[in-house]
Amino acid sequence: MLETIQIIIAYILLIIGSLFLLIGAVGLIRMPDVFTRMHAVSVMESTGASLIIIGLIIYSGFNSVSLKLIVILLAVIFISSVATHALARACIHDGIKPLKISRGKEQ
Amino acid sequence: MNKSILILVQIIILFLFWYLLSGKNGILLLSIGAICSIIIVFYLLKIRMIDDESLPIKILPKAIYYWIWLYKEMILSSIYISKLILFPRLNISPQYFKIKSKQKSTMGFNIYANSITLTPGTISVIINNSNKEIDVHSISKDTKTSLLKSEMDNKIKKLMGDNDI
Repeated sequence: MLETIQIIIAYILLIIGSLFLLIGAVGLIRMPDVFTRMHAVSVMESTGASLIIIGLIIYSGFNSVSLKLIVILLAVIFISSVATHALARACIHDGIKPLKISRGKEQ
Repeated sequence: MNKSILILVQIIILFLFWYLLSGKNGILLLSIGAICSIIIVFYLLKIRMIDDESLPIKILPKAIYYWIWLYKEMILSSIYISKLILFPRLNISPQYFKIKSKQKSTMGFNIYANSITLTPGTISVIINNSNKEIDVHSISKDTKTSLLKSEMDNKIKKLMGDNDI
């Protein structure tokens, strides 16, 4: 009984995480410029990836695999924030101006 | 913080990491791991990498509460951004503005800038440590106003306490 509940929770988390990844991919195509695309990707990397890893941790139970997954989760979160900042800084350094839109119309 | 405690904690962390990745109990593997972690810590001492900044064990217990709060914020703003993406008319209004932080220590400022980047909807672009200002790009006015309430800034100030790292 307990194992069934564990597996059901793990599946729900995996499905929600994959949904966030899908939404991030749609946003990556829909957004107009570099910075807004980065916002769409940050949904994928922070919430989507971490929900999938938490789902896998619940699925595997408490053993050495889940501890390794916790290390991967921390690494993904720390590295993604630094990489996003580096990308944004490189864009500004390269002279790309952030787009100015209000209410869907370009100014 | 006493330096010998830091060295001991660093050796224990490296050895536990070795044990986690190898997953075997043989005496040969464990002794190789212990020797390797001691050699690495000696090298880190040689290049002066062991201090309060590289191993913040003082703020780690409080940091776990902060991480849970930050994760809740990440989920909430992810749902907000997902609504923006899936809405048929793209209802975004990108903002680029400066924000001043209340942090005194370098590490608190670093945590603040990284937390801004981790929350979907805001990215810290250029960071100025001398006058503690961050250039932030945000996707809409709502994320800007929620950042300007500086709830996150106060939480990090509480987390750092009077530790002047």
